[in-house]
Amino acid sequence: MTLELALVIAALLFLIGMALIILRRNLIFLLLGIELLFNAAMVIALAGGARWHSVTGQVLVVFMMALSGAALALTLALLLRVKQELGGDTVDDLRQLREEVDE
Amino acid sequence: MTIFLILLLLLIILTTGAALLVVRDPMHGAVNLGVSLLALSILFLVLGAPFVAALEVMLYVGAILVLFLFAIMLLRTPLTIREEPRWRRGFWWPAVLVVLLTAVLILLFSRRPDLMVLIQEIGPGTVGRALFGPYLWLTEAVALLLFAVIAAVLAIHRRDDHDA
Repeated sequence: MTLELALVIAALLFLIGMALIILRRNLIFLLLGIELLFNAAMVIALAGGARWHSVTGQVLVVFMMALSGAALALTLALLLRVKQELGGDTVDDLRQLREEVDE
Repeated sequence: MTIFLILLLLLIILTTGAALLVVRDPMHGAVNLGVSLLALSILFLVLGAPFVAALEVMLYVGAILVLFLFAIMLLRTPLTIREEPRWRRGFWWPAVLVVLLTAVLILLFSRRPDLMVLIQEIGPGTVGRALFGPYLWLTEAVALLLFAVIAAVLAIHRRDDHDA
């Protein structure tokens, strides 16, 4: 029963993270949603490790923490850069890839 | 008793997630995410992973959330100081969260031996032996990746000086 509830919590976290990514316009909330997605994956890995009495689940979670931290540091640096260059921190400011040619 | 604890954790994650979807201030979002992460660390403890539970508190609440706070502070639009009575508005939601977390702590420490009946606990020693045994090359790869991220972040901000 514990493992099933853990999987339910993971599904809930994944749904909330997806909803944050899809619904919110602010880029900070988008990054919070990505962290929630990572946490849902971590819950599933730990539930698997607990189910089969294996240490591999915890090892996977440790690496996932390092990966999400690295991704977040890079993305926050990019976010600050976006704020400097485009003057906003919402998804709507990221509509274009090419540089704007005025003349 | 474990079921009650996990249901309470599910409730906390549900409420903080719903709050994340509706709050306007990013700082409030960070606080809600922090409470959600604390509940998750208790869940990891129940799942028999005390090392990962400690890492969740130290790494996520201690490092990643602080990173978010720094980013929010740096991104913040100019402050408009609002005069509002201190105890009336914006006080009930943190109070609810504190009550929920206190209930989790009480449940956790009152019936502790019950928790580990179903699930076998795997301690930090086993994890460490796995990390520096068969997965040593992967650990080194993560170290390399973190170094690359540091270099990349420095590169992103270095371009600033050339442009200006």
